[in-house]
Amino acid sequence: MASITIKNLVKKYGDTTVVNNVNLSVNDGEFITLLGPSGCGKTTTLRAIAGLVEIDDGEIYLDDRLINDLPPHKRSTAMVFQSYALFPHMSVRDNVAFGLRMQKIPKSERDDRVEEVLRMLGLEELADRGPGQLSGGQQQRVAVARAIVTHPVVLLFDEPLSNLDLKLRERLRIDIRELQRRLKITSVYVTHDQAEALVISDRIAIMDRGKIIQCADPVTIYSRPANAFTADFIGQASIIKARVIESNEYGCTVETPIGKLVSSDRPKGASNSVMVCWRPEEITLYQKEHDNRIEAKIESNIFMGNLTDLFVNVNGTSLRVQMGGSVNLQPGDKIVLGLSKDKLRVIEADV
Amino acid sequence: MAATTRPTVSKSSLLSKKQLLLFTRGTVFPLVMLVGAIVIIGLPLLMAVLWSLVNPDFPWSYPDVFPPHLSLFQWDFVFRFTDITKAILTSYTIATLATLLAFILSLTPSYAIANYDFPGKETIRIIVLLPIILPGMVVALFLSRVFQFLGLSQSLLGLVLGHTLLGLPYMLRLLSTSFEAIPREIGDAASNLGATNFYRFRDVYIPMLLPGIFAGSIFTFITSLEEFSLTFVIGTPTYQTIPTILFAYLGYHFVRTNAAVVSLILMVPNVILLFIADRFLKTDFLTAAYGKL
Amino acid sequence: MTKKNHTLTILLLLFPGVGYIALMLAAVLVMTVLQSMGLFNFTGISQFGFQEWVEVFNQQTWDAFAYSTKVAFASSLMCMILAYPLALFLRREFLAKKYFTAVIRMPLFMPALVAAFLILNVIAYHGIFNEFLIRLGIIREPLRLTHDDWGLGVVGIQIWKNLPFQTLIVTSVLASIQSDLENAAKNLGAGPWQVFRDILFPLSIPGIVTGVVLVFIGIFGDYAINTVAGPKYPPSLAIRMYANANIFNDWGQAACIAIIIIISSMIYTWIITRVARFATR
Repeated sequence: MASITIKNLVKKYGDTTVVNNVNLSVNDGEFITLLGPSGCGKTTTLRAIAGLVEIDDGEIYLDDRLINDLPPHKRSTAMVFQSYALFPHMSVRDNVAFGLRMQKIPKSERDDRVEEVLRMLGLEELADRGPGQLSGGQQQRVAVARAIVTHPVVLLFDEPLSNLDLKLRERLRIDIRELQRRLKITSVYVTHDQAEALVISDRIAIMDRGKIIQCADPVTIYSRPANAFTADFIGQASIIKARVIESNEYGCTVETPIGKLVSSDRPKGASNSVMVCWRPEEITLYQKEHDNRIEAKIESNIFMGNLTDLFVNVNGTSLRVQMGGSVNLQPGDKIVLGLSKDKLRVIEADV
Repeated sequence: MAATTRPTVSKSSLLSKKQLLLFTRGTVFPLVMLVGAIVIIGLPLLMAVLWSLVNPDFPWSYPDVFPPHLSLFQWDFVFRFTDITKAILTSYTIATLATLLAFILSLTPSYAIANYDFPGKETIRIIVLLPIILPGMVVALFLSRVFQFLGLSQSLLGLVLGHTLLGLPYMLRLLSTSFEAIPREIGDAASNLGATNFYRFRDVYIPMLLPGIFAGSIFTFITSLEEFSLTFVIGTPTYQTIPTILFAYLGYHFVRTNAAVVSLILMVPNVILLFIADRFLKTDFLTAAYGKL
Repeated sequence: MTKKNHTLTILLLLFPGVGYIALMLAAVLVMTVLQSMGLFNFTGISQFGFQEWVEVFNQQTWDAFAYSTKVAFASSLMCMILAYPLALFLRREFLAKKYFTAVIRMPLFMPALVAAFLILNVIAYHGIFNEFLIRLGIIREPLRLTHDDWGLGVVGIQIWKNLPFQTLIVTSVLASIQSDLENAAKNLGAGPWQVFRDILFPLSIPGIVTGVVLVFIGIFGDYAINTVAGPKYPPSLAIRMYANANIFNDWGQAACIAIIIIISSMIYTWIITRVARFATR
């Protein structure tokens, strides 16, 4: 178990800078997720930790040890690959035993550890099969088994669930989290699925175009997104442009296309041009306690089973409002919405 | 008592024009082509086989269509009174050594070609194909000069080195294609789990490369067995291979029966080997080797 | 790991196979050029100069050159004319296709000498081909097809030997053309000939060119088949080269002819690719 420290990591492919000065600290035993859209640099960062990618600049430390020049087979950073990368000519058992063989662990101890891990992941009956005879979920579990049996100090996951269907994904991600909790191995997990990130992480590092935008625990990321990108990427968000009219230590008032609104947030920068955002489920039918009152007209009512998506129009601006259950309102009906000032967040305009 | 009706000849028992056309196209034409192919390809083969079985007491000549009597005399003769056994030994020894050498020399380059991007890859591709593109006798003659200069003329080592040169393009080509087929993540996974380069090659790459290695070896082996120009110039008269012996019977000392026997000795193992290889491998590697040059 | 310069590693990795080929061929090339310039004359005086080149451009060399070109051209052309329809035929499924394909591929497994012998047998003066024609009454006297002055025997053998290879190449090139392109053409009203002329043929040329070049160069520089079945005069260029080297011991001349063969091959390659590009337009 070790902590990971990444300083000023840079990686270029030709003219494109894929990882642009990334700094990250991962605590011992923590489960951190690198989250972002394709091309944001999350996988490259992960592979840099594993030593599978040659970096152009920066330092990577495991605990206090600089590992930049340590070749990949000497780092104890076992990885679960997106394609699982199971060796097709070896049985499940031999696949799992591979890392231990490379460590020259004597046969009896090797066999014991392999059996233990196979049992832990429910793979005993499949031990003699070849990878080609396994389902996607089974292959994934073998990949995990193969990684953890080597007792690595760091576990790396490269979008391990992206090739599986939804139900399997939802189940397996919890399994992975439980496993990690039990083993207490420092883990770095890469995904583009924000729901997944919210479920399993101790902390999430959101990346966009080679930089870490925000790094915090799931609740903070969700409720206090640093900018429009984060707000939009995690969960859904209603984001609109605003102009700061007035501001003091308790909050500010802004002018927006949908009217004057108050927020308990204060603008972070010097500019009066900002964005404000809130979550569709945080805006509801107006009640006296709400600081903000918004009159709107229903555009469409979409019933989704446990929720209803209402699209409403306020002075030409379209907003999305999410309410539980079904809502008996038709297109054309008028509705009055309310939003409390601590749910209206002021964020940086996306650079 | 069941009523019997006289069978009537229905109008539709006569083939309509369209059916006739379809029948011709679908059945007659392919069959004609097949027979044509068998004649054009098979007939020469058949003649060779027949000539190898001619009984010398009943010489086969015009106007007989078939040899009057068949016997294994020619085979016996060739094996007893020519150097064919030595030639067979030499041929197969050189082929084995050349294939081995070609394999060892090709491992790292094909890995590099598949896994690294570097300028000049196209040039390298062409260099690798040159031994096949350049006219055989040109290379043979002047390589023999170089060998003379180095003292390798009329030597087994020289022959092996020369055959390796001619077999390398196939081996390199097939091995690099095979390397390219291995997903990058597999190699990464092996490193990630602690494998040094040596173990990565031995335990992961080579087992996965076996079909390609097999194909490359068969091609190199066959190329060496069939090789004529180089062996003729460098090897004779000290070393004879099956092709050089065949040439002897085709040139000024044309002995049809001997030539027939030696041709079959040369050809039959080839066909068997390629047949096995073609069955064994999943992809049509003949196309891969020949077609994708 | 921090980025390293891999150049050295790559060079080391490539060296065994690629270096082997490069070194050997370089040695051959150097030896050839030097000998054409009068050096390395093992059995005479080595004198640097162009005297070999002055000597080599004579009637016999020209005759050999013209003959080799003629045979190469005729064989490749005929081969392609036969191979293309064959490949088109092989595109669809038909009765006994597997057997047909297997039979057609047999010559691929045969070395040049064996092919030469087999065909030689058949088209010999008293061979079965002539007999067959006489029986049918098509000719009265057997045709001289081997060691004939034109080189018909050689052409026949080369076509027989190279046809499967050519067909294979054309087949695989045709297969790589998306069938949707054909379907689109048909959909827009193109008949079979038009589909061939405007879609298949132009798109297939780039892929086929390599095969044509290889076959052409192979036939142009041939030694064995010409020795076995070719005319007494003129000999193929390669035979003339060999004769100069190992019979007249005139390695200087042989070297010149070798260089002529190589340069001609390069020029012919260029010509063929040019023609192909022109035909694709």
